[in-house]
This record gives sequence, C-alpha cells and structure tokens, in this order.
Amino acid sequence: MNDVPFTITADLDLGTRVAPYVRDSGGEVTIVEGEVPDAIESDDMGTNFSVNSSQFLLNVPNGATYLVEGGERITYRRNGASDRDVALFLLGSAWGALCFQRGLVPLHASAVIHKGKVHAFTGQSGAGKSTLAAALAKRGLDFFTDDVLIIDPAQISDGAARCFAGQKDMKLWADALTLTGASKMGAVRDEPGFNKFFATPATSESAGSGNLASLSILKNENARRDRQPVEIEKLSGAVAIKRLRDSIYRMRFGVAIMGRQKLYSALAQLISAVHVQTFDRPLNKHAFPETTAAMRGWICDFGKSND
Amino acid sequence: MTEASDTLDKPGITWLASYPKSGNTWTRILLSNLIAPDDITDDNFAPLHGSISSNRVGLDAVSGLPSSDLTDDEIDLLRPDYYRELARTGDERQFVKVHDAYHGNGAGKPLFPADCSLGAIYLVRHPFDVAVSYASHQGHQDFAKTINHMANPAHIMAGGSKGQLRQKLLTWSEHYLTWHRQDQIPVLTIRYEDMLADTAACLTRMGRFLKLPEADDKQAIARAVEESRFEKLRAKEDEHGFRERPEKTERFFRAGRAGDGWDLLDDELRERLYTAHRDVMEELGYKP
Repeated sequence: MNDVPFTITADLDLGTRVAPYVRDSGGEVTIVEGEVPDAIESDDMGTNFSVNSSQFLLNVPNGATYLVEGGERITYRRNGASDRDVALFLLGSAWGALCFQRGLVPLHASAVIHKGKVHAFTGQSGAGKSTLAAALAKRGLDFFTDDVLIIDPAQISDGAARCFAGQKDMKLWADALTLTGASKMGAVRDEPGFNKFFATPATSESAGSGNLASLSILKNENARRDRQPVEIEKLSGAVAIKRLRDSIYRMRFGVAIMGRQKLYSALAQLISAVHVQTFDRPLNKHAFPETTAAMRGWICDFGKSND
Repeated sequence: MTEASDTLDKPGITWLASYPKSGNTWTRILLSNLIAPDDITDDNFAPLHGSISSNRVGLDAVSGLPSSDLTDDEIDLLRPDYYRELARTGDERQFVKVHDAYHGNGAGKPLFPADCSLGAIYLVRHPFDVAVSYASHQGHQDFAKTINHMANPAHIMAGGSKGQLRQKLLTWSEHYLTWHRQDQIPVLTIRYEDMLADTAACLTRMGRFLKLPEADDKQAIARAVEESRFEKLRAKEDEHGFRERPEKTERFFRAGRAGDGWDLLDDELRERLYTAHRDVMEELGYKP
C-alpha cells in the first residue's frame, strides 16, 4: 500500500519536508517553473487567490505566483523568490489546492503516532498544534506530521480512516523550540526578526501513512472563564461536523474545487470512523508540562476506555 | 467631529479605534445593546458584525495565505485589501475594533482604506488611568514598564508567533494624533470620562454620527445603557466568564472608573506621563 497519496516530480529543491512524495521522474504531479497567468476564471476569489473546479491561482505579496491545475501540475513564476520561499508557499496553500483537486481532504492538523494509531491536533493558527506535537515527541510519542494531515475519503471504511502526513519537518517559533526541546534547523524566512525555524522533533516515525484514531480540536477558553482549566470533551454528530469544518485546510478552496456537499460528506464519513473531541487547556508556559502530560496520558490510554 | 459618510446604506466598516484599555469593549457592548440586543448571550456580550483588525484567521481565509509564514510587514501589505473584502462581502455594516495607530504599509497605502470605511469612533482615556488598566491587562503591576510602552514609538502588540496580527501602537500621543491628523476617514472622538459621566449622551452622539435609526430613541438608548452598566457586566463575567479576558488576568471588567491613576501611580510616574504626553493631554482637557 502506498505511503503517500500521490507522487511528485519537481524542478526545484523542495527540501526534506515532502521527501517521501518526490520521484526523480514520472511523478503523478509535475512541478515546474513557467508562465503563470495574471488571472483565471473563478468561482471564488479572495485577495490573493482565485479558484474554480480545476484551476487555482495564488499570489504571494512580493513573492512567487502559482497555478495549480487538474491535480496534476503546479506551475510557479518565481518573481525573484528563492527556492526556499517558492517551496514554502507551494507546500502550503498551493499544496492544499492540489489535494482538493485530487479528491483528498487536507486538514489543518499536526499529529503523533502511537502503537500504529495517528492522533491529530487541529485548531486555528496559533492554537498550538505544532507545539503540542513536538512536546509529545519529546515525551516518547512519535511525531507524524506538521500543519497538514491528508485524508482520502475513498479510504475511510469499517471504522478506519487512512491518513497521510502532509509535512515531515516541523516549523516552530523560537519560543516553541525552547518549550518542546525540538532541534532547530534552518530559518523558515531570512527576514530579520522572523524567528521561525524548521525543526526536527525528538522522536519521529518515518511512516507517511497510518490509521487516524483521534482528532483533538485545541481550545483555550476554560482558563479565561474560571472553569476546569484542562478539559477533554468528546464530540459527535452535527456538533463534531460543525467544529471540524473549521479544521479543513483552506475551506474556501475546498468548497470551490470539491463542492460543499462532497466536503461535508467526507466529514460525516470521518466522524463515523474517528474519535473527535475538544482539548481545552491554558496556554501559559508554566502549565504546559501538565497539559502536555494530560494529552499524553489520554493517548496512551486510548483504546482502553475512550473508543 | 467630522460627519460620517452619507452613504451608510452601502457595505462598509465602522472602525472602533482606541489605544488599549480606553473603553473600546464597553463601546462595543453599548452598541450591541442598542443595535442587536436580541443577539446578546451569556457567552457573547458584544455580538456586533465585525471583528478586530488583527484577526489572523480572517486574514488567512480572505487571502488564502498562511500569515504565520509571512513577515509582519508583508502582512501589512495584505491588510488594506483584507478590509475591503470584509466590507464587500459583509451583508451588514461591520464594526471593527482597532488598536493600531493609523499608519501606512510598506507600499505607502493606509492600512485602513477610506474607500471601505464609513467612519471611526475614537475612544480616548486619561493616560494615568490607561497606564494602570493596561498594566493589569498584561497581568502585572509594573506601571513604569507600561509607561515606557506608552512612550515608545516602536511599541507593538501581538504579531510573529502570536494568535493575532501585529498592531503598531506608536506612543499614546501618536496613537491619538495619527487618527486625528488623517482626513480620509471621518472621526468622532469620545472621552472615556465623558462616557462615565453621561453614557446616554455619548451613545446618542455615536448613534447620530453613525446615522443609526436608534440614535434618537431615548428608550432604546436608556435600555442599552442600563444593560451595559459596569456592575452588570462584572456580574456576568463573574458568572459566565468573558471570552476576551487574557488568560493571565483575573478579570476583564476590573474597575470601570476614572481616577485610579492618581491613586496607584506615584508622583514621578505621573510626571513622566505628563512630560511625554503633555500636548495631547492639554488638547483633550486632561489635567496632570
């Protein structure tokens, strides 16, 4: 069984983040430098993207532009950007659009793998997904993916949801490196004061795919409302779907490319196969060891009482 | 006071601009109680349409870009179009809370474009009281540190790894001056102290400035004022919590009064504030 949902052949160095996807030639997706139009016909358009069911166009301010077509080709116009900067946004928003074009659903999630089961953490930017995954890796659970977790709706059945790692390196801010003990690699950007780095977690699993067991939606409300500060609450049915909708990576791209009904149908399939819950905890660094231990304990006990 | 835009039936943004801890949240609650009382819940005290200018999730959704991989200066390049898009796609008037000073981005464009703006209500509070309240909001009582922030032209909130986008505040004086020197967006200035002294009169002024149909409905104004009384808000926070409360502070609705600056700041600290902000304080009638 394939360990990646698709393969790529690229004319630039994409770094080690998606190394398992890369083939020297003959990849299912071709990534090349070339001409990119200024505009495409669009079903939805934001300030920096346009999208229809088969094409996606992205403009990075003062940076590269990307055209993603038919789930088979990404053309980029460099506009002076370095390989690293071209790869950074290619493996972010453009990658998300590519997944949708291929019928896959990318979730905005980081994950660890334990006893063959993937446990993912989702939440909006700044919610602490990567930091939690890195900290759990330091505490003996294997890191699985950062930022993007890919679901193949065609591979959800019999209570099991196969998932794929979107990114095999982490991106962590300097304070999160200190907090988690992950090893610092190169800078994500060269701009002064941009203290975000590629990082290697303490323990990592080389597998690029696994069965998704749980999805924890990260919250930080209880500590600000004088409620029980660390709380795990199981979600199901319509509530779970509604909360997971916000976990889809670049939802607007997905709606334009796959259609709302297909996306919701995929989410409904997903919650039938995966344990969905919220994980509410304080974000202050003094509480971090305790909250990380709480999640570690929950994962280690998973299957004994939670499923 | 400058007249707000005459074309209030078009989609657009009303900016609720202030230095932090100057009555911005209270104003949102007052306006919510005036315009949208039925939408108020125990979990949401201020259900106005619109968010905060530093909403990272909103910018990511509208731009399609991961702002956490962009520099703060690159994000500023996106912000004018982000707000235009908010105004264009919003069904109703948007009220957007702003703690940024009024300034431009690297392309020389104002962050807050006049072409999508209906007007701005600028809330201002005596800097002695701001210093005390802002320190509490940051979870400490090191007033000297806060007073340094208020005199620092490079002072920012959030940005980088934080959940909200960077906001350049400039100094307390510059914050006021930048919003009042610009002539692109009509501004109504309301002093926090005047809101405390006559809340109904201030809310009526806001309503008239914004050409709200409720502006001269005395009953609606009185009800909104009653529902937004400090004691009521504090009791609600005690019972249900308040989602905008920073994790490191005990409560958001702390004192809700004027004069703490004189009780809690010593002579030297007050003198430092007065020396740094004398001109603007005098313009606003704030005594040292």
